[in-house]
Amino acid sequence: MRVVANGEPVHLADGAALVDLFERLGVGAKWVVAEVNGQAVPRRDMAARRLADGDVIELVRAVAGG
Amino acid sequence: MTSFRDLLRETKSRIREIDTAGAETEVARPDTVVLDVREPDEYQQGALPGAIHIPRGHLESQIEARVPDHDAHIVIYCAGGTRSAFAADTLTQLGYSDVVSMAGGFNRWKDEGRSWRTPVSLSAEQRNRYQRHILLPEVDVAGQAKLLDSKVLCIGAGGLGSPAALYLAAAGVGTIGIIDMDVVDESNLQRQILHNMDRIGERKVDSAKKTLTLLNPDVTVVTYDVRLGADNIVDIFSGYDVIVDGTDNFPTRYLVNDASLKLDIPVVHGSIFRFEGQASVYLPHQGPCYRCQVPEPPPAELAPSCSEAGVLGVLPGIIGSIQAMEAIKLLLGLGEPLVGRLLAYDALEESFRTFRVNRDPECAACSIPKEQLVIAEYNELCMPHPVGVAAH
Repeated sequence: MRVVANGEPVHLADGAALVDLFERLGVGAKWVVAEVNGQAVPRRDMAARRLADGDVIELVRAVAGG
Repeated sequence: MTSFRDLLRETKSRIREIDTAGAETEVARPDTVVLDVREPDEYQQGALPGAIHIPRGHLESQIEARVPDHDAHIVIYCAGGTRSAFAADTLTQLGYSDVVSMAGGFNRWKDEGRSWRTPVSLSAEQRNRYQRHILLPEVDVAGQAKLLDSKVLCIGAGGLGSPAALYLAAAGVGTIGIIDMDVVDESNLQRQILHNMDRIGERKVDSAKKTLTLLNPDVTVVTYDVRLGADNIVDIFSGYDVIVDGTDNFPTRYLVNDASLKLDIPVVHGSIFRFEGQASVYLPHQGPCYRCQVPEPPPAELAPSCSEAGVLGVLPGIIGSIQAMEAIKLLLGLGEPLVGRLLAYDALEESFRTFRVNRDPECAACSIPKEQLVIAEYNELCMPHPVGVAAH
């Protein structure tokens, strides 16, 4: 299936979860804030959240510089 | 020829008047606009609580900016009830549908022992300095006086702390605390605009104090040339209204978060990396906290610091300015602060995105009562953690 992450198309295996996308992008679930199709993903659902073909994901990772 | 008496009688026949007792009932309703049309020197000596002040000479030109709702219920008063009668007539002509004049005016109101207050006042210099704030009805003299009476603590006098502190000082925030234990280095000047060539080698807090005091002598700058730690954070934070977090590492951000929860002080968060910046507002126990958003810090290999990875110097200028804006909004109760929202800025795309962040009901820090929250640091990991008395 094909999803769009921060505007870029990403191909994932059917039945993939948000965590698979994070792995593909090299980011850890615990330091990412994400929305799927405009809906915030609660922290506890972050890893297990299933994705579907065509989902639009926006994500941002925590930074700490000042 | 129409005499003054005739004119007043005709005017009063066109408007509605209420007595002071009736006005007192109406003034107590939150949606009533109380309008004082006397001269500034009369207003300064005492006015009805919550009254807005537009001298009658400026009424036509200012009313629509100050009271945009033409159906608002407006109670007008002056000293004795004459100027307010003419003012009520004028507002009716301008399309205001629900206007009354208080007969007897402020003099009768005061004689009858009804409640009044002395309006907060600014010096002539302050009125001039903050003129563009005072012109905003949402700020006005009362809002400016509130800023002058407010205390904001900036964590860090670096990339984010520089623009944040400069704008807070320019805005007239009366007390600005600055924590930083560094000295000014030439490599700071690409982005840390509080400092300059003359200050190289100087303590950053001292340099910051000089810059801010030169900008605005109304501001008291309190400096903390210390490392913020579990042992001193509660003492330092106590008494501040808002914390502006512009630190440069994850461990301090958790420490700031936990102390702010303990003390119930809102935190305006800002963070930057290379070409990306983020800002949010953590309102203790009302919105999510920093740990709801980032439950644990990334491992060091995934979290290079700006000193290793670089940062475009303008970036902290943008994020730090947003932090100053959010701090002022919190102090004045203006608009919608970034509570439960993470604003993410991408300089290369030149785009802002807003992410919704929810409270985590299982958050290690904000889901436990603040009395049970113990502020601690893991020494070996340099990682503070909340120690909750186990609730389950």
